[in-house]
Amino acid sequence: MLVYIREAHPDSILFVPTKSGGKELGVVGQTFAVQDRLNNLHQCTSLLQLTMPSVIDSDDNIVNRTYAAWPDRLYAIDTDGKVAFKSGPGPAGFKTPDLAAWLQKNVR
Amino acid sequence: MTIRTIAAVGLTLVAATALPAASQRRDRAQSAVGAEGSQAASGSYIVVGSPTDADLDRLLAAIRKVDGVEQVEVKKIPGNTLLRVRAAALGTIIITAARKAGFELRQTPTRIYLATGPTQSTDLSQLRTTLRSLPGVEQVEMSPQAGGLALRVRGAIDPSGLAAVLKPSGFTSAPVSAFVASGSAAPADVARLRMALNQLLGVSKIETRVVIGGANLVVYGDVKEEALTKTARACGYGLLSVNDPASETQRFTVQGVTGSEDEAKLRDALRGVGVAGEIQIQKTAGEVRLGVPTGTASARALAGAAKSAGFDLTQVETVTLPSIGSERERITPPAPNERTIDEQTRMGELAPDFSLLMHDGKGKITLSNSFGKRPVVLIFGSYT
Repeated sequence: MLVYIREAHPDSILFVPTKSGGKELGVVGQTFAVQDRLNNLHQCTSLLQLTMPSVIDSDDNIVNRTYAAWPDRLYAIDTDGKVAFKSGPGPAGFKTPDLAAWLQKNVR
Repeated sequence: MTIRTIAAVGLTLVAATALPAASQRRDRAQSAVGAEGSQAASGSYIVVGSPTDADLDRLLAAIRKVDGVEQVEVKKIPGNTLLRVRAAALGTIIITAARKAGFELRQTPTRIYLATGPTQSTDLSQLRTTLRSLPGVEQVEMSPQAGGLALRVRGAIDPSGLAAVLKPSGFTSAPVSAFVASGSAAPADVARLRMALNQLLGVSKIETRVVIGGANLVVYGDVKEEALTKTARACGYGLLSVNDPASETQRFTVQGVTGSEDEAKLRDALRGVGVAGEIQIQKTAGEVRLGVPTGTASARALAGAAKSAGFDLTQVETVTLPSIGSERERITPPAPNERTIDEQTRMGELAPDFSLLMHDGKGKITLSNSFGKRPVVLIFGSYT
């Protein structure tokens, strides 16, 4: 599940989707409210064609802070609801191969 | 670039499966507010809203109510009202509180200027001191260039105000700004855009480079961004301002750091004067370099704190004029004051529960409802 949190590099200029289905350069700003965050999430999932379940952190950023998640971080929660995998804080700790290895070992 | 990384590696995700809720785990996230640590940081903002004393008092009262705010003040300078805050956490919390009081807060801008004049015969340190004493100016850096100076000025000051101060020393100055024009990459269209912008009052020179998705621009001259944007739009382009990445960090060389204990001691000293973002300490051949996020403490305060801990800091001023470059996308530096240092999650312990809005903006997913058959992977990140 993707948990969309505060932007890591706000005001970056990136390609964003257009209404006509193309893409253009646009500014991706910081998000202070639910609607801003939904807009950025839609741009992100649309352009990158992501299909995973996705949610946005609330405007008080409480989940982000509780999980010490900014700018990016990976967790796996086991079937008992306990933290079973926790990457280091990003960007240095954001290592998808480590998570992939954990999944291969623990999920059939 | 988190999410892009995920898309690139094609990571398989474990879908959430609805199972009986573990209600006792819920709301742990909500009980964990205020996790940003106890160190206070300082920041300043331009206030957009009613300038009356009564309304500004209301703004101050609203900010004072925010948890962790130690000090807050407003200062009126010609053309602007500034808000200075010292608090455990800046950013969203402060801006949201201001919005609820009917105000918008904007980060004080950083501008690059090209000043042409007699660098050889001018006391640059005196000039720097004069500029730093201007109302609204928070930081000034300068680097000699051929025939003049490149200046980086952070603060709420109008370009004409800066020019007036530099003029007695024989300098003429004008801002230099970088933009990306989003639109046609056809050379003829870019040339038409360049010609149109060149005709605007205040513009002295335009540089362009065609890139995929439009063009990179550098604009020389004292011209309002709104005028540039409007003209570009009339030519079929969206104009996107490019931040100066170097403006986000104050750089120093350090004397006295020899090992990891010294590094820790220096970090502690800097945290003590309000540095809340990432402190970069880099050892290279022959010297130690320090990078500290701007906007949290002045260079003088940082140097004083380091001195008290037994280290000498010398500020490194490297101001470079914007260039048209060849990049299509521009990634800004990491946002300051966002990282949470406290680790509230523990391996083997219950994951703090949450219930968050789904991408459709209507439904919610509750983490604890997903426990049961298979593990749940949480990928925290953003587009940038």
